[in-house]
Amino acid sequence: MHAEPITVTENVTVGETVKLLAEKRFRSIPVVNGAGKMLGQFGVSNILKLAIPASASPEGGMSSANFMNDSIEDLQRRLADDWSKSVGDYCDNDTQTLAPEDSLTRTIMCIASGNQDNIPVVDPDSGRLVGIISYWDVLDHLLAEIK
Amino acid sequence: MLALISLLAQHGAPAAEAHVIGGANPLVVAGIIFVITYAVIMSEKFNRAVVALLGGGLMILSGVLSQHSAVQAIDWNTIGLLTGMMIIVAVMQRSGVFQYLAIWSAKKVDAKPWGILVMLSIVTAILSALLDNVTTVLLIAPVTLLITEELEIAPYPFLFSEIIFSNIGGAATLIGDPPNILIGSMVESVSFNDFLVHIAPIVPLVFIATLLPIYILWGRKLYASDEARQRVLDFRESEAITDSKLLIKSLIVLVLVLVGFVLGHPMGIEPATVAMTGAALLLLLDNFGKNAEEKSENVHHTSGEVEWVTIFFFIGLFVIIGGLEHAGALEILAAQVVGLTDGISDTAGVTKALALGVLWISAIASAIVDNIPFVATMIPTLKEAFAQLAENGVNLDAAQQQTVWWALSLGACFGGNGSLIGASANLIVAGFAERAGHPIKFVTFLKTAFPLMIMSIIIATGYLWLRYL
Repeated sequence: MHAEPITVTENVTVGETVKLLAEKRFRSIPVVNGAGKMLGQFGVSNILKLAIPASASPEGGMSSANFMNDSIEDLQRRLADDWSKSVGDYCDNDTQTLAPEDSLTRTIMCIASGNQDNIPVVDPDSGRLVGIISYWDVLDHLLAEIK
Repeated sequence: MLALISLLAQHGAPAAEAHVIGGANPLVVAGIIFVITYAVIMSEKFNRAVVALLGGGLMILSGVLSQHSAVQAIDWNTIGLLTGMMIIVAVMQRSGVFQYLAIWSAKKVDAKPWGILVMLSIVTAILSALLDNVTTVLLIAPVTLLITEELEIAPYPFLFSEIIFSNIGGAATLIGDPPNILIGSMVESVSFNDFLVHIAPIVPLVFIATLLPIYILWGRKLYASDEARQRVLDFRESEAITDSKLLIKSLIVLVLVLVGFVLGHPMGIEPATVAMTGAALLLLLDNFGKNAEEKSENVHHTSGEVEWVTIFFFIGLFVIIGGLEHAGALEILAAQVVGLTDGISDTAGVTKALALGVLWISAIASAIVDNIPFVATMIPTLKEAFAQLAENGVNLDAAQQQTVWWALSLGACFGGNGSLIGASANLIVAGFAERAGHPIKFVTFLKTAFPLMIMSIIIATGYLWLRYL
């Protein structure tokens, strides 16, 4: 586990968060409030969703929108509309998390079954983010035991 | 509500079968369960199927009626028709045909906003007539939100119109609106063809009349830039069809089912048989060529798409009304209905009073409460009212009785437009609108919808008067 993960606070803009993700080549990054409490994750899939209409998604009731034929300018315009908005309004609130005392098995099941490639570790009492575990962390640990 | 219970309590004769716990008056017990159940359903605080099933369970547990009688009270023709059509729509929607229709119609009018509103209203009305309202709006509302988002215009006028026209369009056939499904299933003398002959003609008239105020309110102000319209014009509607073979199979079965409805009644075949057989046929065709595991998963998945909550809601309702019937409460309610004709002794006069009374009372009641429980209660009540009138020497013939059923149908279907809680489809669209960040407020909707509903009932009054009364 990485004890002091890179995070963004909820008031940081979407644009600044995208720049950070691109610079660090992260797929996603935890979003916290001023007190360090975990609010959710914001990543590449969230960015791509901002480029398409909000209603063209399963959450909007459309299981597929293959008929859409927006130009690259339309997609960029839509993304630019949200560039200066707060990232806290767009992060995924239903991110899977682990508690510090959770077992290795539970950690593996979390990563294997979910769409996340890293799992935030959150203190169950305070909700504060205490660390982050990536799939490489788990795999390295597992393979070290086999070696 | 308390007046109703008090009225029932005044009539002390218990029903033959009821052995209510504690020796309580079954009328009062049935009345209390009925009133509380309907009040909780209206409050929307709990899932209505759960409430209806609990109410039905209480009717049995309290001894108002036995389980055997409860099962007999369930109108299986209604349940079969609903379930069959839900399965057909669940399979059909996977083909993407609903999105195709919405996009095709939007492009047909050059993506001009008012044209799109009219076309989507027509599509919604026609689909609502052929398939159930709830599924129609479940499929049209998301693509409507997408189109309005691309056009950068407010979706409210479009969603409002789809709510209104799903209830208006659905009135045209036996299978279109839940009140008609109930009437067509529970009244043996009313068939699919009867709705086409007697109710369908007024629907286009009410459609056009309702469109005019919508144009004045919103239509003439709708505007989208050429750039925004081009985004919709660039939609490739053929890509919306995700399974063309399934589409063909679905359309074939849908046509067969509609033909079955038309030809079935004279042959003594009820709508439930037609719908369930059609659903089974479509499931068979859908699974052709699949291996056993795929077939099993496919059938399970489709079964999961059936709105079992709605089915259980109907089942619970039927048991509650069965309890009222067994306790003799419906005879009392029927007497109140017959009271509308006091002082009139000729059958023509009685039919006039009853039809117009039922039309207007149904309309107002359907705006206040969900029209399904209202109609489910009114059908056995009206049957009982006809019997009481006959005992009093006023024998309404088949045509006159049918006029009253048309009044109930028009009142309940159009009345469902009176408020957001008037019909199930209304709440579905409101739910979508809320999730999309464009909530439809109760009072905002009411201010426009209620007057439009009254206008449609005035037109229905004129229609009934000129054609039957």
